[in-house]
Amino acid sequence: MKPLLQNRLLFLKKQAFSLLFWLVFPLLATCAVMQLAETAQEETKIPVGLAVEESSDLARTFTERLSSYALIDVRIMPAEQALRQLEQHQLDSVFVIPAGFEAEILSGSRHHLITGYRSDRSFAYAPVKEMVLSHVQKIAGRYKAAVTVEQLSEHLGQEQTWPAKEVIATADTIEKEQHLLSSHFSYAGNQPASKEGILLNPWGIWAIFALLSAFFLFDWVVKEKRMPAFSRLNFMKIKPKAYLLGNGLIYVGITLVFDACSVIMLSNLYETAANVRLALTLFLYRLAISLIAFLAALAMHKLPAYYGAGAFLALCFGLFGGAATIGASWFDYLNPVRPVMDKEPSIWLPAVLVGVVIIWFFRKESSDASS
Amino acid sequence: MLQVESLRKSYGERRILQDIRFSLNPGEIFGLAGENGAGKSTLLNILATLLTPDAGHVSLNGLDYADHQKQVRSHIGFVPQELAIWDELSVEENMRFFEKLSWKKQSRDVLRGLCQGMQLDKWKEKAGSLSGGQKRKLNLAISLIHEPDLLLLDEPTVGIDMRSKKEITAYLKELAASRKTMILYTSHDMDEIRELCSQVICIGKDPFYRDMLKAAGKPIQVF
Repeated sequence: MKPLLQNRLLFLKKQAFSLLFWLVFPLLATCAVMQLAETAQEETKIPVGLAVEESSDLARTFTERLSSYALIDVRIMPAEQALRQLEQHQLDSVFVIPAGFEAEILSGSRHHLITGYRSDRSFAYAPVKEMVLSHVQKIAGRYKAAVTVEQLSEHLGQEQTWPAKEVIATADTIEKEQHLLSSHFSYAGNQPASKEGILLNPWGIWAIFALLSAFFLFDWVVKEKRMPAFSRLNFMKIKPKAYLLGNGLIYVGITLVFDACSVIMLSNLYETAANVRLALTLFLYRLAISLIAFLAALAMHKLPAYYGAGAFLALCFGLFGGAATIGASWFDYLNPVRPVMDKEPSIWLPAVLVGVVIIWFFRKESSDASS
Repeated sequence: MLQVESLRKSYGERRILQDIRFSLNPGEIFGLAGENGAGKSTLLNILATLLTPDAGHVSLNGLDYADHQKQVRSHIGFVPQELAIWDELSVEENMRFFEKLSWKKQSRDVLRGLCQGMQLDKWKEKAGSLSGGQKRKLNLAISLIHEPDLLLLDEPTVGIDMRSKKEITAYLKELAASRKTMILYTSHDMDEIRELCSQVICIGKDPFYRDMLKAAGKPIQVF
């Protein structure tokens, strides 16, 4: 292996810029796409006006929850200003929390708690209204239940009292801790917006760019095996297949070092946990895509066709169950990008590819030129 | 010693080589002549173990090609007609590259000496920027790194200047004399063959080459 490494370094010194570019390309491209997606998402949020006419805990809780949804841009302002902006179509819809909101809920009322306004151009009024309603219903139901518990406790003369506020606070705590209830706002059944508001999975994006870069990193196989100098290896101690495989392993080693850097950087940037499971998933993925690129390079003789195959595969894996969509089709099972997105190590594809490479390595050629 | 007995090779219905037999002793230089398509490259490829014959036997230093292919290859130096060098590497890097993969480890001085022996002094220069003659010399020097017993050359001086030709042929003569290397050499240049080779193997149907060589008084074997 040492002679191969020394020889490879001779070439890598001459191609340092190109090598470095394709090694960092997945990381840089992922950051760029994620940044673009977040910017686009910010700019496409639905502007919703919220007028809060009382300063109760309940009104504040409701406001905070509504503001936390990624696809809604909640703008808090007085009702008059909000309605004026609605008329000018600066807002999609307006919701007013009137004075006495908390008192109404505590008294058990569930009617006319919030007033909603729309214009003739309010395209998202219906789903936003449904979401607001479901939250109000949830809060109202919880408050009514809490008041009932308090009244029953007093009515039955229990030693231990159950104040409504304490019941509500306990219910909120349990909900937060155990995720008992959750609701999401989404367009046409797309992936629900996460807390951070990122619709795209950074590991899925990274995986697709890593596949593309693997094809460019392994293009030396196509270039070198067609060179007359390569035919000399038939007369060398290290045979052509051993030369190709050994150099392939060197490239896998180099890419793994850069993958480790990517794990650290992407985990920090997008607040995902960098653990052994993720490392194993990425190692198996790197092995799989390197072997795919290596085998494709062995099978192909022309660079444009080889690069085209890489781009086609990246497109397929990206479009069908890749980074931008969630699919439950059979393709998900075959798609090597899926385990990376789910951070679930998948051994079957690398195992099959290793098997193919072993068969290739030990198979006797029809011409005995390279046996 | 290279021993070739009753060698035959056909491509489909087309018979290329028929009953080729000759032996090459250490230190001898044989020429291989014939018109294009006569089978010179086929014969050279068989002797280089890159092709298997349909019939016949070949052995090198007592090692039968059919049974000891790997060992036989370690004794062969093959100089292809195409320039089998890495253009992006320097002369030194080319020599070091192939030395590391070679059967025999050689020091940097030995590698440099190989190049200097045939007047290739541009040790640090990129192979791609060398002249045609210098590239041919590097092509030959790489094939000699592991000190082969049998050197097979497929038109090694094609398309180069007269001076480089002379330097290469002088080096080959010296190599055969000093190291007792067996050399089989194909070329269309009859002057070169006459000057360099002790005997010539003529293959093909065209009598042009054999008549020319006979007239020059060279010992020839015709197949």
